[in-house]
Amino acid sequence: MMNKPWATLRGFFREVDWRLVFLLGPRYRFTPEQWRRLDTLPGISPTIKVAAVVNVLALAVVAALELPWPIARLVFCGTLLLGLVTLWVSADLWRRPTQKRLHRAYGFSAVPLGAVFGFMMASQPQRWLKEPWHHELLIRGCAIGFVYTMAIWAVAMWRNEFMADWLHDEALREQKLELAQRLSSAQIQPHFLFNSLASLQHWVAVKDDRAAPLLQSLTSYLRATLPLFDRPLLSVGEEAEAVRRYLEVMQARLGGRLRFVLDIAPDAATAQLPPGVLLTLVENAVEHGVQPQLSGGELQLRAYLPAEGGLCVEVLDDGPGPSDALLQLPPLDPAAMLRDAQASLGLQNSRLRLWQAFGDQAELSLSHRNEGGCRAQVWVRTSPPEAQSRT
Amino acid sequence: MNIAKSAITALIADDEEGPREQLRAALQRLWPELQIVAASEHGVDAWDDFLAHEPQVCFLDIRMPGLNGIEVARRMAATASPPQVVFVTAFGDHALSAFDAGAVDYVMKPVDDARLGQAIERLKARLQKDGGSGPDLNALLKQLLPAVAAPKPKPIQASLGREIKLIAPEDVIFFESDNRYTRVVFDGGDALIRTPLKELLTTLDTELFWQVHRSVLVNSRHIASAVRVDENSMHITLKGREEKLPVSRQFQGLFKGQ
Repeated sequence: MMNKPWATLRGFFREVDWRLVFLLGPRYRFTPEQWRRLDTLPGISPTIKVAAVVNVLALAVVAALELPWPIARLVFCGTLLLGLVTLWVSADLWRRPTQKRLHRAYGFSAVPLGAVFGFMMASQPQRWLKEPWHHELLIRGCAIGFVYTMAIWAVAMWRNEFMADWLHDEALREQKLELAQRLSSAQIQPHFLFNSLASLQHWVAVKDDRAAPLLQSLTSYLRATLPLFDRPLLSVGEEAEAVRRYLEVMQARLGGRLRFVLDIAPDAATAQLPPGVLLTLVENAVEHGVQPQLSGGELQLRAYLPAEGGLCVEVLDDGPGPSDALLQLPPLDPAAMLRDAQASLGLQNSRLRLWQAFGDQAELSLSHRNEGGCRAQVWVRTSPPEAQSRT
Repeated sequence: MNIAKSAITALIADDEEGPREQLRAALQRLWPELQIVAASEHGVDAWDDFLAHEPQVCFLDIRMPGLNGIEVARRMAATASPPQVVFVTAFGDHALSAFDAGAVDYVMKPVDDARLGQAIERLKARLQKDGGSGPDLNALLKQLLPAVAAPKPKPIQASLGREIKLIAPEDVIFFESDNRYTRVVFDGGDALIRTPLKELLTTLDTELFWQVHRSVLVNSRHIASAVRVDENSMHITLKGREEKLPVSRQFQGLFKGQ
């Protein structure tokens, strides 16, 4: 049986990408979404642009060297012009290193060869080998055509590989960042925990009756919070339970300075949100709205289904109100947020997770309340696809 | 309160009762001679209590309403008798890493006896060495305190009979506490408002309004001169006005002369 060597050979050739062998084109194709992300890469630096033009000038001088005068001028100008066109084509390939564009670019680089041959044929063909510079011209034309073709090919191939690598690295980084985000959001604020323990320790030591309920609330809070982040989405009702425990702990610590109302409509309680969003907004309201007030303040959490559909959650406080910077949150740019360290900010983090779950159907905004204080609002226009989980 | 001259006095400040009382109990246990002259419930009180009692040692929580611990410490450091400051903070505070450099002492909540004991030993050593005057912490504290945008000054609402007058803060010449009220003196007269002076402090521009006394806040543009009466007392005169306002010893450093 001849099957075995045949199979080996077939295996070998199966690994060959014939498209690349014959078309001399770049390997990777990108989706429109990937192109959108690749567009955020920095452009070509001015230094490289100037260096490229200097090189083209030098090449044009070399190409025209020691040719008779009128021909030399013609060759210089022709080479220079072609060089600049090649640069323009290369810059285009730098931005979009695709098979199609590379092939179009090959067309340009064939021009010098065609030009030389055309020139030869137009002048007396019987003379062109007798004049030594005609021969020279042919060789130079071929060489320049080759150099330009190689340059274009190298730019396209390298850039294509680079872009694929970059996308791969970005994906890895995003994964890591998401993991870190998950961990950091799942983590109980150490500040909160240790301050609570400080109160607890004292009340236990002096046998104050407040110790037992505080310990109870703290335990319930931890129990409600720790598994919170295992799921991509959580019902408003479940998270409101964690919020209630958190507020109970804070109320035990702050005494009369914290007053709160939770108002969750029964039909809104089953709606889903990314875990931790409500808790983040409530923690912010306590920290920036209630605690800075000398006489304390009141916090309200409301969740309801508005008549026009979707889900609306509001966290209201009667504190000093949001700062100007928070009123004008920058437009949500997930790519930039993943890049910047600022993404770890609780509020931005919540926006990112809402975006990941609902795209542009969800909105998180802060505003001043007419009666003073801050209103944090999450508005989801559609109900989330139940089973959709992000990976 | 009657305090023996030799006793070392202290202030503790925390906006939560539990940690505040825990610290008080721990201090009483570990340093029985220490006289705790004030336990303040927020930064504004801490500053006011400091001016009232001039304690040599202050234990300050960092996150407090009104003024945070670092702001209070900065104000204290600028007075004539800056105290020794120990910050009391919870794990996870952003300032913690800066404290680790060692220039400012700190203890973490919940306070444990061993760590507090160390801080007490250091305090005793420093109090003995330089008789109570604290190191110049201003630069470090400035570093610790992230630049806070000054709050927008709101007009002061004062009722004059049936009329409620809105006074722009920059038009005020001085504020003076008067029992439970604060007297506001402005170009067109004067009025009483309910906001205590110590709370006004946190909302006004400190560049413009100088605190010259525990109960006096004066618009620096209206100060004509500072007059030294004797070793300990000083007063300021105002442009085009008769009043003389006292400058307490703590704030006489504001007027150094060149």
